[in-house]
Amino acid sequence: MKVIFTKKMLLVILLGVFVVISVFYFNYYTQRFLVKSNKIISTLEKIRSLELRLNYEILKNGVFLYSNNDFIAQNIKKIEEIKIDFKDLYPLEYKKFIEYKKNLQKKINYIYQFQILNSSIKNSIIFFNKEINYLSDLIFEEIKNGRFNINDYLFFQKANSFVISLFISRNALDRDFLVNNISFIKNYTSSNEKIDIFKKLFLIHMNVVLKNYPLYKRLLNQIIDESNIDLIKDIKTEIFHKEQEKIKAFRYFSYILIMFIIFISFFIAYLLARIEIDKIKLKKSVNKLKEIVNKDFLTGLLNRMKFNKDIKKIQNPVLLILNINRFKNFNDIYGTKHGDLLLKKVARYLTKVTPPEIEAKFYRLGSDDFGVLYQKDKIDSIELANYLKNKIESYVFKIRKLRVSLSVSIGIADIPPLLENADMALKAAKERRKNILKYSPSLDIRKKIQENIKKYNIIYSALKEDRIIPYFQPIVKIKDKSIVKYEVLARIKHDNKVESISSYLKVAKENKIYSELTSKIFDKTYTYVKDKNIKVSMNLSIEDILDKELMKNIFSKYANKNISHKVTFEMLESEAIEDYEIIKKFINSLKKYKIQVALDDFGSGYSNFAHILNLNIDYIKIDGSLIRNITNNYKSYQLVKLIVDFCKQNNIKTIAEYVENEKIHKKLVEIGVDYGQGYYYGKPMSEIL
Amino acid sequence: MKRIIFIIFLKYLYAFNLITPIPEHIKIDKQKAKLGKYLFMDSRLSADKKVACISCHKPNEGWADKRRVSIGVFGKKGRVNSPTILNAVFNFRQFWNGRVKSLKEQVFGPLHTTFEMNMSKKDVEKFVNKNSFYKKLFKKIYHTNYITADMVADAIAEFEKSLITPNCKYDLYLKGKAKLTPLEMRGKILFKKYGCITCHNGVNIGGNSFEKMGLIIPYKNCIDDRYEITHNVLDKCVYKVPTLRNISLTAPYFHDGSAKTLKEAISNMGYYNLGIRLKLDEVKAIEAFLKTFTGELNK
Repeated sequence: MKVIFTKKMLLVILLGVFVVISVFYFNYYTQRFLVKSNKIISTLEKIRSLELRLNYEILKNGVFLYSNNDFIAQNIKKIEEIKIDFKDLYPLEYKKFIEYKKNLQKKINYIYQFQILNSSIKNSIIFFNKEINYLSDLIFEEIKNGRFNINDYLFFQKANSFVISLFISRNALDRDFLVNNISFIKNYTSSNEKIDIFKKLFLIHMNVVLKNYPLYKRLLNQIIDESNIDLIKDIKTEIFHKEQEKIKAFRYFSYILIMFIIFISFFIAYLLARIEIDKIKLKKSVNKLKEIVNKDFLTGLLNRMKFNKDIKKIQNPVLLILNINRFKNFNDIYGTKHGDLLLKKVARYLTKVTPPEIEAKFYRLGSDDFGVLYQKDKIDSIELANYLKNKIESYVFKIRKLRVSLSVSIGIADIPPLLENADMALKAAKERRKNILKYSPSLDIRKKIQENIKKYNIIYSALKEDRIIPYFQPIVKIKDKSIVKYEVLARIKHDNKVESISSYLKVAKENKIYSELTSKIFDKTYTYVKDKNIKVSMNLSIEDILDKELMKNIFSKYANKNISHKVTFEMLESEAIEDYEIIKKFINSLKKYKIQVALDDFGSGYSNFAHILNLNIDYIKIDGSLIRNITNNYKSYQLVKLIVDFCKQNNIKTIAEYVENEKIHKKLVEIGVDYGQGYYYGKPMSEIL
Repeated sequence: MKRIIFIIFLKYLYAFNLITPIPEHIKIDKQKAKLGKYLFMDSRLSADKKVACISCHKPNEGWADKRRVSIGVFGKKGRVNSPTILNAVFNFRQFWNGRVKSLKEQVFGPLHTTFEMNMSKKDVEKFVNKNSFYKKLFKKIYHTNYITADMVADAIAEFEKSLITPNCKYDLYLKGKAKLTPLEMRGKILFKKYGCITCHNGVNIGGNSFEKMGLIIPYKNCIDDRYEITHNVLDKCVYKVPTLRNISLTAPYFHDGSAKTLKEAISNMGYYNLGIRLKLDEVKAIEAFLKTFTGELNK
């Protein structure tokens, strides 16, 4: 399947891709930001707690006499090892963080210094603790030895008091407790050597303590000062607020994205709706097209295609094919425009008069073939056919200025294949000169068709292979049996036999090669006769006369003084005579060239004496069926006599056909027929002797 | 269950102990340590190809140097006494004045110092990259075609990490696996009573803080002290407190190597930093106690 992208579809796809990328990127960015930001916050929190822990360790170091410095070192290491960089994310806060780092470095240095001072003070306290006892022992020994010195005791008291105040001031972080007694201790000189040595060492420690204590106090205060830790807290809070604000922005952006997605969804829905509408429109167009496809364009009836479909839907269908007799002639005479109009009118009339309760469907199945399809049990088919025939034939169709009466033939079939069977019935009806015929298998039309095909093939090949030849049968004067002329009869050489062409004529007419046959015979006869002193009589049908091309060809040869006086054209007396004007015109044109005219087969069918009078004809050929029966059928005898009398009065010569024996010959003599033709006088021959 | 509670209880005790035992194992990369050992012993890493790390940190001299100061390239004398590298990994900083924080950084000290090994990073890289033996080993361990000085330092540091001495007598005592003699016990009490423990505490019995040499009685020979780094007056004579582990093996003592014997060192410390004159029996007791800190290298 080939997919065609419209601009809109591409736009939707592009937008879709854009949104998807946006969502992914947004998601990725948000997540990364939150992870980063939260990591910063948690790291800051960790730093803060480590700092508090460090302070705790420092205080422990300060308060307890013994403490493990590992904890402090490890804590410092942990804080120093934390490395975070959020210069890009929060530059302002990062600046503060750098400041914090500087402060931290200071603090760490303070801690190292504090540890040194703290050690010295601790060591001095240990010293004092131990040495005060030593001093008390010294004084106790003096007293024991009876050398009690009140000043030494005072010194001991002052020193003791100093040591106690040292303990207090260390814990109170207040130097004020230390100020008393210092000058006394410094200035005291004992007479006891041991006490004096002790005093010197005591003084060293005291001086160290006094010297270190203010710094110790200041450092401790600086170390445990929480302003730097608060700075971390501030940074953390600020970052938290900024993060919250950014999250808010994320939320708004996500709203925009969602709106965008909704918009695209609507857009897609809109496009889908458009497609749906187009689909509906297309469906409508398709339906219309279907209608057009199913209908005959000219008459508005259903067409053959539709018929093929419909026939499957009806149970027990019956088909009537109604054909306008001789419609082709109408077309030829009045032109196809009128013909089309007539078809339209017939179609309209047919649908109008058909009883609606039988729910029949109407089709145009051929040029002038109308189909009526209905269900068998609705009405008897013959009855319907009769009804339709009567209706149509009694109606006068007005086509512009023409008023046309029609005759119709109807073929009926209720056995499948309906169309073929009805068509056969129709053909059979025409052949048998019945107006209505219902198909039954006994019609055996199929065989006939095969025969027809065979015949067509024979005649067609004969024509192509020049096996159509003229035979000549003599026409004699009845009185003395002397030959006056010959009738030219077409023969066909086939299977090494020569046979009459008459059985092939119908096939030839239907297949439009009839005129070729005529042409062939006329050409050959012309060549044969033109230099001989022989008269010939040749047959022309109404179809030949209407064929302008053929006529032109014939006239070009026979409208010649050298030959025209030797030629008689025989024309068939049949329904064709109804096209009276044409025949009349034709005969008149023949007369110009002195070509004689004979009316063939007179006495069969529609013989019309009035017509004969108006036509300028020279001979009448009395139909063979009458002649054959002349000896045994009185009616025939009388009819022949009537014709002969009529002709004699009107100066028209008569020719009797099918004179087969002497009996008939004698009868003809008796009646006074002018000429005769038949086996009794001579059979048709290929050559004239 | 009882056992677990007991272990937790023990840990609690240790945590409150001022001196804690050395862990029996620490995580090291053995291949790196082995490579570091080769480098540690390689005198080609010095300017005159005669001085290796091991020249001043001798295994049979407590991974220190019994000379007062060590002799570097071309016979140049050092400034301070070479400290032991045993358990150096537990020191919070390296060098006497604690100027670097990690063992790896420490490696560059002696390497660069003109009177020690006198090698620039470029010199080191030039040497090792030309050496197929090292090329092969570094390729295998560091997956590199070019050996950087940093990798060399890293390998040496890894080796030094392996130099820990767990299970000294005192550690075993702390774990309840050994008993101290009465003399050692007395030393232990004096160690606390006189405040030695104020500075010498923690896992390395020192090495976890800065202290002043001559805290009470000022000390005169303060060379290479922290003041040289910070230039803060308060940092004069301030050094990293040295570890007391394996102290009996690492004579002479102090940054200047001025105390030839442990006894001398103990009484000097008492004088300068505690402001007391220790009696001989006290010094002996403390010495006996300090000797319980001597452990053995992990194999």
